[in-house]
Amino acid sequence: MSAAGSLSPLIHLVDDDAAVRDALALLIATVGLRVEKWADPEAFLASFDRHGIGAIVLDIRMPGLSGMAVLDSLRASGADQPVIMLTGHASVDLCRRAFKGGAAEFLEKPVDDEVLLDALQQAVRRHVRSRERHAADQAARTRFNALTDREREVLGLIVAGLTNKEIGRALSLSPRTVETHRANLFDKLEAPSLAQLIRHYAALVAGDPG
Amino acid sequence: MNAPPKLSALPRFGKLLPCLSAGFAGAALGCALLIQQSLAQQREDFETGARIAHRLLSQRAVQHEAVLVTLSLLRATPDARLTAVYPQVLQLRQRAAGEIWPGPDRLRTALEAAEQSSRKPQLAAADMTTGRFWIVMPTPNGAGAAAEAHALEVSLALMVPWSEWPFGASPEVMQASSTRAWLVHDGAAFAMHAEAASSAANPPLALRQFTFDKRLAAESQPFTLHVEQNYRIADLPWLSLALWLAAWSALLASGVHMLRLRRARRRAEALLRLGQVSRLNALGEMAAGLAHELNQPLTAVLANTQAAMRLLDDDPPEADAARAAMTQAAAQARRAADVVARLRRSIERPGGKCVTVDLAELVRSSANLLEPECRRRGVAMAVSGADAVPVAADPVALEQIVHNLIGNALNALEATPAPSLQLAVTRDPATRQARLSVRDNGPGVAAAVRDHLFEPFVSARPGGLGLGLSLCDTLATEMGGRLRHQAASPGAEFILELPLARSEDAGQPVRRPA
Repeated sequence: MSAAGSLSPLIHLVDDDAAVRDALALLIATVGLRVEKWADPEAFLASFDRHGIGAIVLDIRMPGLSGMAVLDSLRASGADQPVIMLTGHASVDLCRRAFKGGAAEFLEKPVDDEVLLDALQQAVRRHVRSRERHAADQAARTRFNALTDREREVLGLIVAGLTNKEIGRALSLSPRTVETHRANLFDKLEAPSLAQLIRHYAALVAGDPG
Repeated sequence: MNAPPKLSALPRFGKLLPCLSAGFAGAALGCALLIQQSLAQQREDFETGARIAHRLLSQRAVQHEAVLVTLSLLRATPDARLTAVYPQVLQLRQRAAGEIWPGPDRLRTALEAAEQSSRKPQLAAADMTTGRFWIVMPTPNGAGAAAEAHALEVSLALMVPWSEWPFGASPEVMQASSTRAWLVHDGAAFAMHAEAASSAANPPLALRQFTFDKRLAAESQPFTLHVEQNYRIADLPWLSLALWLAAWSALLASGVHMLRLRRARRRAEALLRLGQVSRLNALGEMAAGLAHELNQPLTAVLANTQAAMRLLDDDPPEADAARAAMTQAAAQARRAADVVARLRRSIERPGGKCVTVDLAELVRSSANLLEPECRRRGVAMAVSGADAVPVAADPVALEQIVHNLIGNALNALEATPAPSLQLAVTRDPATRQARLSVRDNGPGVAAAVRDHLFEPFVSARPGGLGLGLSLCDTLATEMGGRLRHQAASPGAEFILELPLARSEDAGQPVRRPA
């Protein structure tokens, strides 16, 4: 949890060859990305920071645990960092397996700086976006959970496109009461407009068993 | 230590056993048929002979009656000429009316008794130990002692002359063929054959005995002809049996030989294919390993140099960091060079041992190995040239070259109508070179490839590795030879030249082609 707060992206570079590791690390560092080098895939899996923003560069051909096996364990453990696979001899089969296993990119060695750095920056951007979206989803859920049961009913009917009058009829409430609930839930959900409300909460309403 | 040979011998024997028993069964069946046939043949011969003997004896007996009847009708006096015409008639006698028979008493009473019993010719005083008998007949117009009577004495042994006897021209011949004949009367028998003293005590070993019994066709001479013949071991059809067994074993041997040859050829083909496949596999493995080995330093070189460029582009340029990166790049470039050097050392062949090899024989055996493949593809393959061409070469390498050249030609002929492949082995004593020409009538080598034929990774064939000819060229060069290509019309000709073996130089006699 210590590095969780760090906003600067961190690239994890896993390659058993020291010369390759150092050279790639140096190259990545020239664009201002932080790099953590790992020689041993097992050590990497055991102790890398799963919560930080960043990406993973994996060599496929490594003694012990292969890059493919590392990719599988990453996905099985729910790590969400994008993974860029590197290989000396690419084959269609290897490529297919990598993408099926959830790799973001599949690059051939020797790799051109532009290609690698572009891929890394894109991966980092994507990771940041996905983390943001995730955070937004979390906040919306918290707010949604703060609603009363009646407010949730009203919200469901608003999302379904009913007018206040129709909602009042459906719930046997006076239009004024409906109006009050409506104002309250807009307030609680911090929605500036009906459009925003529907966009952020329609999915939560649909998934709400109540 | 004894177990492995035993184990390997068992399945061999297990495979051999049905073959052996089938072989024995075939031989035995053939022999049985031959013996059966010989037996039937001899039985038929015997029966024919016996019937002839019976007919001859019967004819003579009827003749005796006829002579006697004629004498008594004519009331003729006995004439000495009659015994000259019929050698078996020993003597003739006549009794005038009212007289008695001349001669000893015993004979007289016998003749009288016979004469009384009938008016037809009658047997009298038959003596089966000496083989003599009488027949007697009274004249038709009288009776008893008042009438005249005639009698004649006959010898059984002389009845049929040996020249007409069906079982050999003399008693000895007859005995040699193990045939015995008797005339039997009243339980006594007269032997027609020569009764050897030993034959009774030591009867011949008979596998089968044929017998014949029949009464002579003359009432006055009631003798039964009894003939026996033995089928002895000596009568077996030995020559036919020997010929049959020889032919059968030759057939079996050639069958086994062909089977063995076919199996050997199949195994050789399989080994050859296996060798090629494993070589390709090894090549693939090596290529993958090589790619990784070279890619690692190349990756480092590229990354370092590109990082250095970026560092120098910075403002201000980070010269020290860039220099460190370049130093790293140089080190990694050297590492790549080391990989290449190591690779070259590892695939360097340790130079096969050059021995004297008969190029012509090697070409023939290679062609023989690929012959089924040729037949499958409909390629007409012809091997011509000298009988024996000894060259100094590494046999394994040479075989590889020859096999590759033939294989290439076969591949080139894939889409050619009426494909033909000609192999010719010749020698040039002047240059001390042996020459193998492999010529096909395929489409020939494309002009684009022609100048680079012997370079690695150049192939005219889609999917070809382009290593075959380059390897052949390397091998040929290592053996002091040369491989070259010559366009033929149509097709392509590959010529391998190798130095003749040194024994040639020493002037040792070598067979010349006819």
